[in-house]
Amino acid sequence: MEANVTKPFVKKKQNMKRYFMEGDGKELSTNKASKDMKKHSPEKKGSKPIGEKRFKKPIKMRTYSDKDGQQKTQQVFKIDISKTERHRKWQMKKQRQAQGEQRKLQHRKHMREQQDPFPGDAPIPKERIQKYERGEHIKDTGTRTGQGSRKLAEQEKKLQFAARQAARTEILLHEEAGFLEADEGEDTTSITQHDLAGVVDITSAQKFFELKLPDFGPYSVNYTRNGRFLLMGGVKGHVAAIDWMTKKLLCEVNVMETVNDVKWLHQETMFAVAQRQWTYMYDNQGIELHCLKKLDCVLRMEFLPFHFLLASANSKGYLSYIDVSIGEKVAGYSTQMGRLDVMCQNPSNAIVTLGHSGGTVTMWCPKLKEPVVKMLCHQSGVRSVAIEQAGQYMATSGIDRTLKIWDLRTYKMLHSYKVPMGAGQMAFSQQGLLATGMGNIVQVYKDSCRQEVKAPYLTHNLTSSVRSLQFCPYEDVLGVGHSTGFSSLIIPGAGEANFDALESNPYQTKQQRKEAEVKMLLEK
Amino acid sequence: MALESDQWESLAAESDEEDLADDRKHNQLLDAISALDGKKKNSLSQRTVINSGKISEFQFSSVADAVTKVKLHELVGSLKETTEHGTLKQQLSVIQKHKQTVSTPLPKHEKAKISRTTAYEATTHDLSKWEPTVKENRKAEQLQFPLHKQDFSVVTTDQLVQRFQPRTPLEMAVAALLHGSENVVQDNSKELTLAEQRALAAMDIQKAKERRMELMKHRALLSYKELKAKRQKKIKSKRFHRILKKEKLKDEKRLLETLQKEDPESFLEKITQWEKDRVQERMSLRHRGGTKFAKRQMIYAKFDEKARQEVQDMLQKSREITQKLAATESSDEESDSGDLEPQQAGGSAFVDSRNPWMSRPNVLIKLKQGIGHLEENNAENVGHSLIVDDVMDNKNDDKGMSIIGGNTSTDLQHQKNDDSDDDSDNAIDGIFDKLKESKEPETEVKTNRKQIRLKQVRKRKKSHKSDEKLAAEAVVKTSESGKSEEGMVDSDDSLCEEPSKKRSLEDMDALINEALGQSTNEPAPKKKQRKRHKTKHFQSGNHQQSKPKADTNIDPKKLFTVDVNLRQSSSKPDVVVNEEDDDQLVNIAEAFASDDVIEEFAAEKSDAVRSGQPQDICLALPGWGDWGGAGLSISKRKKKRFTIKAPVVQRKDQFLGHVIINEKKNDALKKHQVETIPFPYCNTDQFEKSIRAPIGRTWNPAGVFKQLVKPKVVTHLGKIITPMDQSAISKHETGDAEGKTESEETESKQSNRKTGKSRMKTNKKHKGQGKYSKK
Repeated sequence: MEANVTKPFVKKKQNMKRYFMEGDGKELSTNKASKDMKKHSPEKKGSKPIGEKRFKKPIKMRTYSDKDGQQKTQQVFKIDISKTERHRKWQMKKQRQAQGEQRKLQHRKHMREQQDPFPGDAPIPKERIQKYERGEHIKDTGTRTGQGSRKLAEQEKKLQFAARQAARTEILLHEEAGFLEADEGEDTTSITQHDLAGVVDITSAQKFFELKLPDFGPYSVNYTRNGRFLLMGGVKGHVAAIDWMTKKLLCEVNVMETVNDVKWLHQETMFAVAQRQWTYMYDNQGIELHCLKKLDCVLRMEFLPFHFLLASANSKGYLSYIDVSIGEKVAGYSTQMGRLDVMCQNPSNAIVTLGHSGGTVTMWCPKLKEPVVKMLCHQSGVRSVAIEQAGQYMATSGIDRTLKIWDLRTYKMLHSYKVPMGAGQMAFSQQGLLATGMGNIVQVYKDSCRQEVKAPYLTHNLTSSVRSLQFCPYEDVLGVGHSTGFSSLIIPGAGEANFDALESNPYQTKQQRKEAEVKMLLEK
Repeated sequence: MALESDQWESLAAESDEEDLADDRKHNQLLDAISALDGKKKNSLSQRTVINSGKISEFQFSSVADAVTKVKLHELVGSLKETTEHGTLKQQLSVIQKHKQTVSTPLPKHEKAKISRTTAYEATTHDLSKWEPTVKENRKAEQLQFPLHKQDFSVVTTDQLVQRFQPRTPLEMAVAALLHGSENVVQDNSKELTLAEQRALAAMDIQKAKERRMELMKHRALLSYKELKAKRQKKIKSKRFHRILKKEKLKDEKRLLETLQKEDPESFLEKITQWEKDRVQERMSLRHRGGTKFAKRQMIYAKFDEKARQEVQDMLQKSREITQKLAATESSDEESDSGDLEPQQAGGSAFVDSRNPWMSRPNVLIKLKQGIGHLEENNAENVGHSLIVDDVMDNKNDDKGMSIIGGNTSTDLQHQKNDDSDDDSDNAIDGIFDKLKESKEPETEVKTNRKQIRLKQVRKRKKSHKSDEKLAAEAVVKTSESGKSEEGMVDSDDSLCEEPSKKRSLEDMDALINEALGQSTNEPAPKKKQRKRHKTKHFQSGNHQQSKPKADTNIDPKKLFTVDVNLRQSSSKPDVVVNEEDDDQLVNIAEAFASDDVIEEFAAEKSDAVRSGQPQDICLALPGWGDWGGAGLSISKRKKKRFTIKAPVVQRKDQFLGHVIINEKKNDALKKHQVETIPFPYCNTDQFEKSIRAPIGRTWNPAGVFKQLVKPKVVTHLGKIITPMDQSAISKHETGDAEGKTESEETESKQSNRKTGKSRMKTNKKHKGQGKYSKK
């Protein structure tokens, strides 16, 4: 019993002792390194011999019995621990630990303070801001009242902020427009559509296609503003609307009358068709919505999307504007210039431009009875007119087989080209490429406004003569309507690479379309 | 009546006998007699009081009697005799010792006036406390109502108890019990009950004293004010008032001067205001006896000195207002110009220059002369140094004239300048500025004011040197102008070599003549000469004004000359069947392409130009100043004299032969344009720039759009907006640090958020490219 009782006690005591030893050791290790080493060194002496060279004099001899029971002597040296390798290593380790601790602390402190290594907004290059600035700043904000001055200064600040912010958002325009670049000794002109289609990716290659529609005569074409839908109108009455990317047919009707021109209205839900006598409106199912008897014998139409105006020019020289949102005629003027079969709009300011047989080009706005500007552009009749996206340049072509580029800011001619067959149709792309249709050839010129062009960028031969041309917005595609159908050509670098989904979204859902319609009407 | 008088006589005899025995009876009798007549006579019964001369409480004293004025000692005389009424006696003696008369009180209306002013001051002082708060609110970019933000702190039970309001009858009854008594502690924060407080307050002498002092002070202030007003009112000295007036005038003048130096625009505004006043005065003749008041004053003036003075003042005022502004500039020069005018008028020297009706044509003639001999003038004038000071005069005189011809004032100037070699540099500079201005409308289609101003500044810098240079140049120009013909031919040849962009000068001249020739004879030669100078420049190559003008005429003929042949690819267009006849048509058209298209266009353009050009107005009356009779014709000279020259309108397409720009006014647009600069703006530049940028969603990033259309005031549905209370002031006064307006706070918050976002952006960027970190 007794033993039983005492045993655990002793054990406990030993335990305690050990504990103390440990505690001692710890204390030593933390307080004085050298002491600790002294204590530990005899234990480990056996395991690692200490060089005699360093410690010359043995202090005493120590006898001990090994496990076989034999007596042995061993020299005991006095050791300067601070000079040992182990000590050095140990010290290094300590130091590293301390440093680590400090770094950790620093890091924590840093995290607490959260210093931004690049404080403030990211700087924007001045040139980029300048691009978005509208006119000069107001330098003198002093007005008649203090309040007024303050407001003006505030407003000025806001406008500057707007420019800065707009410049900042440019980072979101990550797409870039690319062009074909020929190798040395080669020419982009010689590259055919088939070459291109063979090289580009599948989705792009699908954009080169032809619709063979030989029965209903030359087709006039029109893309929607977002470039998603295509409207075709054959002279002999065939009208078709398709989603050209998926090649899904929206509707197809034969109006059983001559079709002079077709135009989408503000969205892909409605389009106008200028027929032999009246102008009709259809929805995307091909159901006739309206017959506009006010617009008779219309040859060409233009839709002004921001004003909701359908401008039409007829064979009697009458130009009329219809507001499609309220269905009323806004203005109508007799131009006194004969048949009006050349028409285009200035996309930047919605001025309608007409070409006339006398070689003149006139520009019209609905509020004025007379043309705003009348220009003499050719010695003989004008065959087609096109105005660039920004409204700075105009291209005209005449019966005299010349093609001229005009600066609309100064009304001066920039370039004049002689083309073998007069360009019957012309169109500018969003990036400023100029497509011309001459007979059965389509030629595209690159950068024709800012510099003199020596050769076309791309050409394409068709099977029949071109009736109408339009670049597809936001796509590198040129739509050509001709006598035997429609062809869609790949023109690298034609379309705007970045689209503003709030403005015109090619991937619009039905809901978005509805909302956009309301918004457009509100902003009209 | 006869009977009556008989009776009276008999009665009188009786009374004589009885010695007025009974007056009363007699009177009664009289009454009775008079009643016989049917008329009731008012019997004037007078009570007579026996005046003993002594004051007593039992008798009346007549007021009329001056002698019997009540004196104090008489009233209290009896006090001396008694031993009673000790206190009363004492009081009386005190009163008699300090005998002081109280000043007569002010009339009621004066008193009211003074109290009104003091009250006004007090209220303004009170209200001015609100000023900073109100200002701050006005300044704030956005105000969110209610202005006080709700505190979202946890409500304690105490607070709940405080908020509790009794509604049901039982609650009300309990509340009445609890709160009705003044002896219950109502407010937990206060230790005393209401009754206790009142008792304490009643005991507080200090406060009472303070209050009394305050009152006294107020009263004293009132009296000071009264006195001051009285004194000032009494000052009759005209000199004093004159000095006052003069001081005011001087101040104004000084202000004007400083304005002229510092803020010429507002100075101009002042002057135009002055001018407007003058015009109004002249129209209405308000101070010339035009008004009803003035007419009446005129009538009174005969009798009343004051009215006379008033009329005189009025006339003085009218004189002041109708006086021309020029007087301030320099009187001698005015007289100079006055001397000169008749000389310039030439044939019409006898015309009275003071007569406004006659002086106008005078100026016109001068104008014409000026235009006719502009070239010479330039050469001469530049050589001399010129006067400018009178320009202001002229402008004020002939506001209409300056519209008629852009260079009126300067031309006038040139003719006045022969005798002024000793003028300062400043004057010369000024003239050159003017010259420049007058030239610019010819040379450039667009003449921005700003540009002119810039040029002026530049000119000023150059000052004298440039003047000399220009002068020399001008002389050279005139001397060489004869040679120009050959030069033109040469330059034409050289130009023809260059393709379509260039244009020949010959054509320019021709087209200008075509366009402007018939309608405006005079400006044309001017232009010709100018052009000749240019050719000379081309020839000689000394490019002193090296920059060739950008806007020169483009001849439509030249447009159709040189074409660049486009290199075609190997593929030639296939000739399609239906295209063939088209091609043929094209060929025919090309063959017959002629100049008549161009000529037609040119004719159309000249028509447009003519219709756009305002016509001269001839005001000459046939037979006026002539002998009448059949076959009368107005002399050329007269016609010339009475013609108001139409201004030469600078067309935008002046130098573009192939373009007709419609310059007719668009009435539809007019509705949307402003006639004057809207209110807070000072100048057109400011206004135009303030609306330069669109604020719609289409043109701005979403965040910016929100900022741009941020409403000034935001209210929340269902939130009660209480009027501001005193706490708003105290908040403003005390905590300026935390008293930032809410808008500011929100702003700072926003900025914080912004920076947060931007940080994210930057981080991205650094990951991506690290583009900006290097910079």
